Amino acid sequence: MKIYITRCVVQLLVFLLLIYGAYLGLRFSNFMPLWRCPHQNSYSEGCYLLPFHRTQYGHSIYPQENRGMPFPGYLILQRGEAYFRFFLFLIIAVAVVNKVWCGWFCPFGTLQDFVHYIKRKFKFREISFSRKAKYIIQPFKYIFLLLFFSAFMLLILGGPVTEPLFCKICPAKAFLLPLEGNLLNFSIQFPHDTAASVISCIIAGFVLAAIFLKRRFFCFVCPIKALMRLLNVRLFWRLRKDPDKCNSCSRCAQVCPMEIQEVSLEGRAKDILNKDCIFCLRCIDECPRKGVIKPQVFKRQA
Amino acid sequence: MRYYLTYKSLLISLLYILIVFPKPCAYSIADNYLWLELDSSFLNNTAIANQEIYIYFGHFPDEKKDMRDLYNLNAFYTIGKKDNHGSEIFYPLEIKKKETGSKIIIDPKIFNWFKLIVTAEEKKGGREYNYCAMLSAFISGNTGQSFREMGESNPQGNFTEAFDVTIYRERIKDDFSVHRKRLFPVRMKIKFNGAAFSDRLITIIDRSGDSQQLRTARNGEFVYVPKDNLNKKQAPQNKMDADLVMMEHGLDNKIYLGSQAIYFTNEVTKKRNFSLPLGLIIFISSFTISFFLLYRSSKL
Repeated sequence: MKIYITRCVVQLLVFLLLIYGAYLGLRFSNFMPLWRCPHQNSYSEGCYLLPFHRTQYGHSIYPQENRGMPFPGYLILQRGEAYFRFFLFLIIAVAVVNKVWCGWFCPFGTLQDFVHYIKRKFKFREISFSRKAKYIIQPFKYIFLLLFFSAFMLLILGGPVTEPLFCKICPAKAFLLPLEGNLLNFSIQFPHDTAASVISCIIAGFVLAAIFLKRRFFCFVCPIKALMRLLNVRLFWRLRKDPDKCNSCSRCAQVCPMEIQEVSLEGRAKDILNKDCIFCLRCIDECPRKGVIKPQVFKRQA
Repeated sequence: MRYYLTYKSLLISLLYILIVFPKPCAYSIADNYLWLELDSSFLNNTAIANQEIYIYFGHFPDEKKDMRDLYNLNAFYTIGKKDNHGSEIFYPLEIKKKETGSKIIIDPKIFNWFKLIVTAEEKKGGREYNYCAMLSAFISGNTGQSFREMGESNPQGNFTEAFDVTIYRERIKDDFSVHRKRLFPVRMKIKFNGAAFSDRLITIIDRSGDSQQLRTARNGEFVYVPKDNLNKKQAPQNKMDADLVMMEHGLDNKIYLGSQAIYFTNEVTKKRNFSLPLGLIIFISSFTISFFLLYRSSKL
């Protein structure tokens, strides 16, 4: 229970810091994916994707060098630093923070946990995925990873328009604006942007259904998780199990938000950190016996 | 002869002049003043500021005079960062001198609203003139020269006595754009030396040189509805033009002249048709289908 409370406090603090930190002058969303949108009335910082938005004229202090710059030159010279900053964040998130980002820091994961907590209070029953269902859902994260990088391309290739192409179908906007009482994103726009507004409504409906049905649904299809899998980086974090102490009660598997069954089935002493694990450490917290599962940092016992 | 020189006749003459020549009597600001204009690429592009901003002296929009007699010409900008006491942090900017205009290059390495203030002084006819030009715009400065916080600076000169204009950012109904549009009201609040600039006449000059006067409320607020751009048919929709809000205040032997440039797009919001019921039907349908499919998939 101690880990659970600590994690809740950390999640809440990180959520407040990352999402509302701009009010304190901390502008994180210039380089990491956060829920901030210039369309919000309470907007206080930029969306992390906006620096990728292509405009006809660049933003160098030497405008004469920018005008009419061809595509590759534009990418390297004008947006090089924005790319570097963002991908540096991705490398740190994937390689160093790794799964701890998902379970402890990710604001969208925290939001899903909060929704889960409210649903539990109202005794709303969630679905659980069968192995086959999981098998079908898993590849979607790679599709989302492709879309994630396509978002940059949509912004880069979007051309000099007032509103970037990606903004028109951005799923974050669908939820940030209604939180302020603005239902405009749920309108179909005629005669321009009709297709984009329809797609936006469809995405919003899907996201809402998924959040309501399953805790941490989006962790199953998260593009960052796909990136972690592809790079297969697990430099610092380990989860060791001592099968001699385990009484096979399967409590760990029952409480796992990612429904990882292997954690209870594993009979040999080894690293049991699953590919889907978000390092929430619920399995350790709920285990009736002490010292069965232990987290390791830098291969040393934490 | 005596009849014509009474106070009554003088008053009638004055009223006659005011009625016949309302514009020159009521609207003009005789003295020169400073104002700020964004780089022309801003005006023809996406309403995202390039780094070049120009300072002009004279009469908006076209009468640009030599500004070599001005002294203490300083520029500062803020991007909303606040210090421990809750007051905005200003950063000084270098001004590149020109004969009839000065250029400022700004690159704050962020994507945000920024507020720029330029102050200058001039002594003329035994009076001290304090000029203050303001501009707030959206800037994207992510590459190029790195952002050097050149030391937090308290703006010098008479900056503390200068005008402070707050332009409220009220969203236009049924519109996504973050940029202000013509024909839609803008609410503003003016302070002078920290106190509300109450019950004072404000002059607003548009790009064609036409001006109108508005009176501020007790709390210094007023609402301005920018006129439609007459050249809209020729100009692209996202072209932006500035209107200039002018304010004047006399204090002892000093005259304070402030200007705030506000940019408006030509984008026509009214032509766009929004259907909320249709959108909600699609959203609810998508929610229901997704809910059903996901529920079914869990049973596989």
